[in-house]
Amino acid sequence: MALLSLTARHFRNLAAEEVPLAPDITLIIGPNAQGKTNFLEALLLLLAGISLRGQSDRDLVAWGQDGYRLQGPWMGEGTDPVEKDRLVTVNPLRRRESGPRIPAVAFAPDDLLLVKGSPEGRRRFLDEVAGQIRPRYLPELRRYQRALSQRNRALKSEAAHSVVESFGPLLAEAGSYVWSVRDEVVASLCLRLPDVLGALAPVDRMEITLDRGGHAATATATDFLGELERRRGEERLRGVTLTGPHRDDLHISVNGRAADVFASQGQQRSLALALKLASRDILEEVSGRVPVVLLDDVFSELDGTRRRALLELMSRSRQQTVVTDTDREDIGDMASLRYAVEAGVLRPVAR
Amino acid sequence: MQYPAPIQELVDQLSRLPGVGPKTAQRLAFFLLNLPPGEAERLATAITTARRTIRYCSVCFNFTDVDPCALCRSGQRDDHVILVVEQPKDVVAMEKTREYRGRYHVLHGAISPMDGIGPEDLKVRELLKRLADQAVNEVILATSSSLEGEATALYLSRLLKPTGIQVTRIARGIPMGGDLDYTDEVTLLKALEGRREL
Repeated sequence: MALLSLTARHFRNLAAEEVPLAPDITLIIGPNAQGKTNFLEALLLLLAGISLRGQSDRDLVAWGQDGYRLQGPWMGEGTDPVEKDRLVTVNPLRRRESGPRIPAVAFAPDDLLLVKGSPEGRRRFLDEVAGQIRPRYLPELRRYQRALSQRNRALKSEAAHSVVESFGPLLAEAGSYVWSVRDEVVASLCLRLPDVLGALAPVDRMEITLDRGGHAATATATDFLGELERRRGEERLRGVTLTGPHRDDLHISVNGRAADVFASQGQQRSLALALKLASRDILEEVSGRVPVVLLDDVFSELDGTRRRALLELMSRSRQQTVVTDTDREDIGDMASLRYAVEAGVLRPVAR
Repeated sequence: MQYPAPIQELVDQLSRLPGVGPKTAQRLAFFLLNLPPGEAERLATAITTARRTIRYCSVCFNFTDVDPCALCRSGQRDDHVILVVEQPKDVVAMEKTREYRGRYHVLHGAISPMDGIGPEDLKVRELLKRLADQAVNEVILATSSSLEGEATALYLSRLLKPTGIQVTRIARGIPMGGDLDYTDEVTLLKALEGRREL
């Protein structure tokens, strides 16, 4: 199963040419700011409908154009390829997508900061997985965020308690659903971590837990509401909601010690990679399709051992992979198709 | 190119209408300019007459040209039931059923702290006064299923609890003739929550 080619029109700086892709590994080499990441971003949008850097569709349109289009034939289990098509116009903003949703996992250098970085980054990681395995998750998360904004504004503007209270049950209803799916994602990740970690890093034991925002005893709406009631005075004083998924964090530990403090930088990168790889396995199991893997300039950030381990993992599974890098020293001979990118134009290069 | 001032003014005024951008405003303006004079004037008169004669009904706060409005004056309606909606257009929608026989109350909005709209900006006090002045058995909350509509319904249900009046919320669920497999998950879940014994 693979996307056979990608044609991008008016998408960032990419030239409007059909770029054939290998069913296994395609490598794209080029200096920075030539369009490597744009190409991966286009692939992720076309396949999974999600954005690489959380960017809005408006920002992706080439300068001076009023929309973009991404197209490519997807070869599934059948004998004939299905056309995947994503057409976006701005003013007014309209999206039209056709073809099946294909799970995809992207790795960027920022992802290697997952362990050390902000709780927000770790929540975004959980949301990306959750949104791809439960269709209801992202709408419910948006509803939660809206209830949260309304309630916070009510707290800040010193509105009557009865107004603050009328958003509570809505917050708790959406929030407890978000919690339940995040719990599910964390539990599934835990099951798969030992496997990927064994291949990737000489770490004994990695544990992850979801630290729920606030002190609710369980993820139920009842406990959520109980906490809102208990911290009512404190929330009034501080003018913000203190309980809920917006304050969640993914706690990561190695051999029983907090990884952000006690793990070495190399270990932290392995742990981040392991989490990403484990999430890929979950998407495969849930969707029944092998997720396409997009690696954006990740190799230069890894040392030799981890680079080899990642390559080993990639070649072992049969999924389609697109890799970008600034040079092609140790990946060059693994790729079936190689391109050099310059000013948005991809040209095939020989081995 | 700049239009003559009267045309520019017309385009500017039209582009302030909801859903009308500069392009559409331009098209509408030229359409109006090409109409026979009498027709354009009829539109102008319709706008000013409506503006001048339409006000809120002093009972239900729906739009009306006579006070109280026809629905509030009708002797055919049940005084003991009041259906609460956000907008006048919701009254029209409900009336299309030709089945509801009670009275209405229009809030003119929903609670939204982000937009600075609180209960005091809606016709809530007026609703309470109605309930105090006349014998009502049931208040049906028919605000929208948006987050703000739900919050408003919750707010009202708590506010009315001490009065002892029965407060109900309209059900949400699968549209008539709708297939289960075409219904989104959230709607299905709400429909499941609101299931009834047969």
